[in-house]
Amino acid sequence: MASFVSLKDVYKRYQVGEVTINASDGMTFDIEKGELAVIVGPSGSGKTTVLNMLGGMDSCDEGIISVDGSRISGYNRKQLTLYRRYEVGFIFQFYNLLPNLTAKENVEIAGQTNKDYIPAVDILEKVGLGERINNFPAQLSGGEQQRVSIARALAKKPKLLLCDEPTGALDYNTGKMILKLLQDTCRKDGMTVILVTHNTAITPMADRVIKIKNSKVDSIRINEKPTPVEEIEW
Amino acid sequence: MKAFNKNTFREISKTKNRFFSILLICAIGVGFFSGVRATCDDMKTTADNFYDENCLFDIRVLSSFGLTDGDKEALLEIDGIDGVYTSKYTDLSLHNKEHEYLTRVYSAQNEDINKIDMVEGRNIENEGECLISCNFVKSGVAGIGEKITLEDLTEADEFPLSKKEYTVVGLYNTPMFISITQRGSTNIGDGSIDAFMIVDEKDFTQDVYTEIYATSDKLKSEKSYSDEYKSLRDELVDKLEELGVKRSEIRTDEVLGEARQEIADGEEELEQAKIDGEKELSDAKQELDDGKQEIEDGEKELLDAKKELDDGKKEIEDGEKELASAKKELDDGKIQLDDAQKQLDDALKELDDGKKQLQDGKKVLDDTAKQLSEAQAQLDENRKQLEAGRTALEAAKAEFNANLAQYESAEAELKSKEEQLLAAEQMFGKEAMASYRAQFEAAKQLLAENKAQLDAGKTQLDEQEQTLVEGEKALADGQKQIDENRALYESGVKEYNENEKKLSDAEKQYNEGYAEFSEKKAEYEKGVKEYENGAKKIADAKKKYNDGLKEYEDGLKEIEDAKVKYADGLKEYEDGIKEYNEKIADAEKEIADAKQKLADAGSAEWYLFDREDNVGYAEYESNAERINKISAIFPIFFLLVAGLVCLTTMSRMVEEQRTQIGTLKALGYSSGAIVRHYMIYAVLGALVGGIGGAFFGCVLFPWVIMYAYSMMYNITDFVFLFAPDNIIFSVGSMTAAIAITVYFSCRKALGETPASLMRPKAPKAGKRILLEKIPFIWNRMNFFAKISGRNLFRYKRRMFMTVVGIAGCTALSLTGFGLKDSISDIVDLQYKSIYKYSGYVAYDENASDSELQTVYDDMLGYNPDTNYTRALIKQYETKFENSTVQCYVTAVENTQIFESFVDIHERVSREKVSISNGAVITEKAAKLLGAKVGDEIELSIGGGKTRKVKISGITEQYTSHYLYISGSQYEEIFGEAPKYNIVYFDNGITGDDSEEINKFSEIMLKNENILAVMMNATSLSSIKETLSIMDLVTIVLIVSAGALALVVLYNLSNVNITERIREIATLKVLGFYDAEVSSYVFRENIVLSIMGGAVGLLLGHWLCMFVITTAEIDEVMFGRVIHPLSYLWAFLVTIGFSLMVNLIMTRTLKKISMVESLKSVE
Repeated sequence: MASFVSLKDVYKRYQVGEVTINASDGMTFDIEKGELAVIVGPSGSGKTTVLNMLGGMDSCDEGIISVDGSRISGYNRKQLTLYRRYEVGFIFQFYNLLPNLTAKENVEIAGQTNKDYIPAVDILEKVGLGERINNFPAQLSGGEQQRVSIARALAKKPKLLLCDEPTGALDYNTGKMILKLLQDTCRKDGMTVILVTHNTAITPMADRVIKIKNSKVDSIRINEKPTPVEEIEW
Repeated sequence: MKAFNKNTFREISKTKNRFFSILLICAIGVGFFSGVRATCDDMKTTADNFYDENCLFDIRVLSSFGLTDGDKEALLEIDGIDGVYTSKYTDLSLHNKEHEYLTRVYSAQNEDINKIDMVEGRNIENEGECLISCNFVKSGVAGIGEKITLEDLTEADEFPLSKKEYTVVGLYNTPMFISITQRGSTNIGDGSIDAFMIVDEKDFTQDVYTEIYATSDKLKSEKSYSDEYKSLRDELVDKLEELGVKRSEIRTDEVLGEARQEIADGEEELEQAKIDGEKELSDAKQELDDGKQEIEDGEKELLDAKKELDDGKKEIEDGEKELASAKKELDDGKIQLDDAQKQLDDALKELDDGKKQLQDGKKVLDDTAKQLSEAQAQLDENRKQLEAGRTALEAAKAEFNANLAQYESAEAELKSKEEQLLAAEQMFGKEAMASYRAQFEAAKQLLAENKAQLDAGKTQLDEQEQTLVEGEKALADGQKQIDENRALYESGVKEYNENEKKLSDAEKQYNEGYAEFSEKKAEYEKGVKEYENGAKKIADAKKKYNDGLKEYEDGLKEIEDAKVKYADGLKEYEDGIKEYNEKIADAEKEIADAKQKLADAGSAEWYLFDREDNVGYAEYESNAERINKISAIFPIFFLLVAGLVCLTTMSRMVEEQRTQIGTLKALGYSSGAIVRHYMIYAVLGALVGGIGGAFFGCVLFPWVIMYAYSMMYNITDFVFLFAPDNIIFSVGSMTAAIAITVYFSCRKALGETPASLMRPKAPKAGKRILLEKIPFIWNRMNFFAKISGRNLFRYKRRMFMTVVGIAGCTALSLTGFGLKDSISDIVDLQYKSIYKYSGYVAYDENASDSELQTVYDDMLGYNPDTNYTRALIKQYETKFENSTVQCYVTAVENTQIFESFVDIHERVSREKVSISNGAVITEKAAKLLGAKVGDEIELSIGGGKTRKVKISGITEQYTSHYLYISGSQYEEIFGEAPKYNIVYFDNGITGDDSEEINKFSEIMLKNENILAVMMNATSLSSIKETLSIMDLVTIVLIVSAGALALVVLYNLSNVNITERIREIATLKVLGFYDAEVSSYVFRENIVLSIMGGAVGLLLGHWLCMFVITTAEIDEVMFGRVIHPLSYLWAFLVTIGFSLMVNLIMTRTLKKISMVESLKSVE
């Protein structure tokens, strides 16, 4: 039985002028269902490329990527759109909320695409923003915006939650709260969460830590006993 | 610094799209601006080149007495006049096959002035050859090699040329008349010249020149329509006017001196002729009077004889009359006699009949008497027999009664004996008595037999009795009948006796009548004899009378002959008087005319004309000026939109490059240097695009417009000036506008600190919009509509600009469509709603009434229901205050019919205006003149006498100018009855039915009084063709509008997308389909397009009206109505372009990479 998420010899190359850059140089790793996996590595090591490929935003040039038994590496444009629409949730460093929509509307816009979704108010209450559902992003703090972003990702009940440096633009405490929310989501709802960061300090909270260096998988470590976020300091 | 510049150029190659869009919008803006602005000068220069090349005259001199070589030399002496050329012309009617055309025939043209342009054929080489103007040939009437005939339409005695027939050898264009439609006016025919012709100067019979053309080198070096030209020319004209006064005096003496002597000689001659003539006449009169006396004497004698004869005749007549009455009396007597004779005969016959009847009656009576007595005898016999029977019966009755009594006693005895027997039998028994019994029975039997005998006897007696009674009854009946017959017989006898008496009376009467009759007959016969004697006497008298009568008649005849002779003599004498009077009057009139002419001629006068007096020349200028007016509003519009678009683009660019600006600032570059970077970028685009656009526009727009006008003017060889000032101004203003927008875009960014610049600019915060406060609508909108609604108001500036850009596009399209509407409308309005008649025929104005009747007959021959009325059409120069317009004065014979042919009404109020109430002028002419109802305008032809007309109405009209008046008003104004020259008709032909038109024309043109047939249906199609040139202008407008719309929308959409690329990428990450992403963006575009379209329709209506009023040419009034469909089309064109841009942008949207767009700002 294959793993829930699996990458096998995945290559991704960019042509910049006459130079070919390998953003992913034969990466291989697996992630099991319900795990909180952290992909960690320095800037430009290719970790975001991996996440983008997993999220269906980018395609690989070689190798196999499969999620829940589907081989998304062979998907065409339309299939990728459907994959993004129904199967994955995305959380960005800069939240990428639509500035012209209120918190509630930002969540609804994702829910609108799915038949089966959690009502925006419910999910916003769940992430602790029940009071601010009618505020525009500009009226929310960074942490609050990121929580809206998480609510937006969760509203459509994805199979997979992908987070790209979710704390990168947040202060320490707020970042911690966000990580806690993600860890709770994983633990309590059994959501598979993949988190990309350059910050090695937060790796103890993960079930699985995949270290990437120079576009290659450097090491994979399984944390038998992940540390709760509250206990992590960096 | 070098690296910094490199950065700028690399920037350009990196953002080709953006740079190109700036370049393009500048090209379109500048191209349109400079192109339309250049057109006016290009047109004028093209015309100037044409005039210079063809050596068009500068000043034209005409004199009322003609011009001489002396005038020519005097002109040459004037400073500023460098060329002087003489020319003769005359206006004639040109015949060709079946048409007639008013033609101005010129003497051979000089090479150095008004140079003709030989289009085809060769110049005149032999006698009897001519050249003809091209426009004439265009109408397909005469070609090279064809023979034409000229005819004089005036009543002059002398034909102005030595020949009447010419062969066409060449076709030419003349610079003098550049207008294809207008060729000036003349005072013959309908006043409008159709063609020009050139013949050898030797062919002209007149010695003097008609006109002299002058050129000036100084003027030639100036541009024709420039102010310099005008002022120099005016100076020259002033000088020539002075000269004109001097030369005119000389010419007057030359011409009039001769004429005065001639008149004096003529007067003297007349006096002598009067004296001679009067003597001759009085001699003749004496002779005639003598003859008359003789005749009168003879007549008197005859009169006496006549009286005698008449008396005799009367006597005879009286005798005859008496005789006739006697004869009548006799005839009456005869008739009476005959009647009496007949009556007598009838009576005799009746008498004989009566006698015979009477005898017959007597015989019948006798027979009857005899019969009666016989019957009585038999009756008596019968009665006797009956009485004997009665007696016998009585005896038989008595015997029977005795026998009956005997029987009854025997019976009673028998009865008693029976009782005894019975008692005996009882006592003795029967046996003992049996013998007694038998005896008794026998006795009884015997008795019974007696009884039967008795009964039979009784019956017989009754029967006899019966028969007797019947016999008695028959006897009584017979007696009664006989008695009746006898009574009848007796009355018959009585009647007979009466008749017999009557008959004898009648016989007596008859005999008396007959005696009377015989008496009368004898009397009558005597009368007849008397009558015959009288008749004989009368016949003798008659014979005598007839002899006398014959004698009298002979005498009478003699007198008659004498009388005829006298009358002849008298007539001769009267003719003589008449002839004498006429001759004298003619001579007197001739002298008076000559004197009048001399007085009329007054003195010679010079008329000076410059090019402005040339129809096409001035009109061409005003057309060019009109384009200039349009260029004042149209292109600025383009420039404005282009500037707005650039502003948006550049400010977006600056915003996008905040980080770079921050970095540069941080690196220590001055604000100026940074601004320069963007300045160079934008200004380079503006310059390259602007200069390219200017050159392109300066060819395209002038070409299109001049090409359109080349269908109205003979001017070819278009000149494109590329005037530096125009190009510099338009490119400069565009560049300046762009530079200012760049400065304003940068200023805000440069005001920030480098640090804040390097941070990504927070996207514009969302805001609730007003609409959300209206839950009624807001709650009904779907999710995406809400987002679009908010987005629209989030970027107000972009919204404003898009609306303006699109409104501009719609306005331009609407102008294009509206222009086309208003132009194509006029033809139908003119020829369907206003002109209701079928056409008109022009006929020889000198035609007699009977000749005119043939024209009417031919019309009615085609269609008996044809309605028609005559009119006089002549072109006049109308003047009011300082404006002049060439106007057709139309005097109408029957205004009522004419008003059913032409719908004369005020355009706005649709109120009817009637010609019978006064002169009615067409709308455009009134507008050009600036005249209103109630104003008095002046009419004149070629500097002739001026008449005044008061305008009493203004009517809707789209092509040409007319002044409608009634025939009677014409007479009031011009002091003479109108010489009608055309007949308007309505014969049912309305559509372009060429078969019917040909049929009709053929009939009409066979009539030699008809000069031309014009059908409205034909004019309609030819005008439609001419106006189709405006389609070109329409297309240019719509294409320009489209290009503008495309560029504006493309630019703004591009800005919209780049500005919101993160949002779009986010939507993609969220798994939105391509269509959903597109609609998220384009929903706004469509809303903006609709808003812009709506604004544009309002703007366009105004723009279109402006263009229509400025662009229309003098001859024509454009319609003032834009069709509803055109609004729709203009709107659809805009929406169409908007959708096209959306389609293009869909591809761009598809290509947006999520990864790239969402990359964290580093």
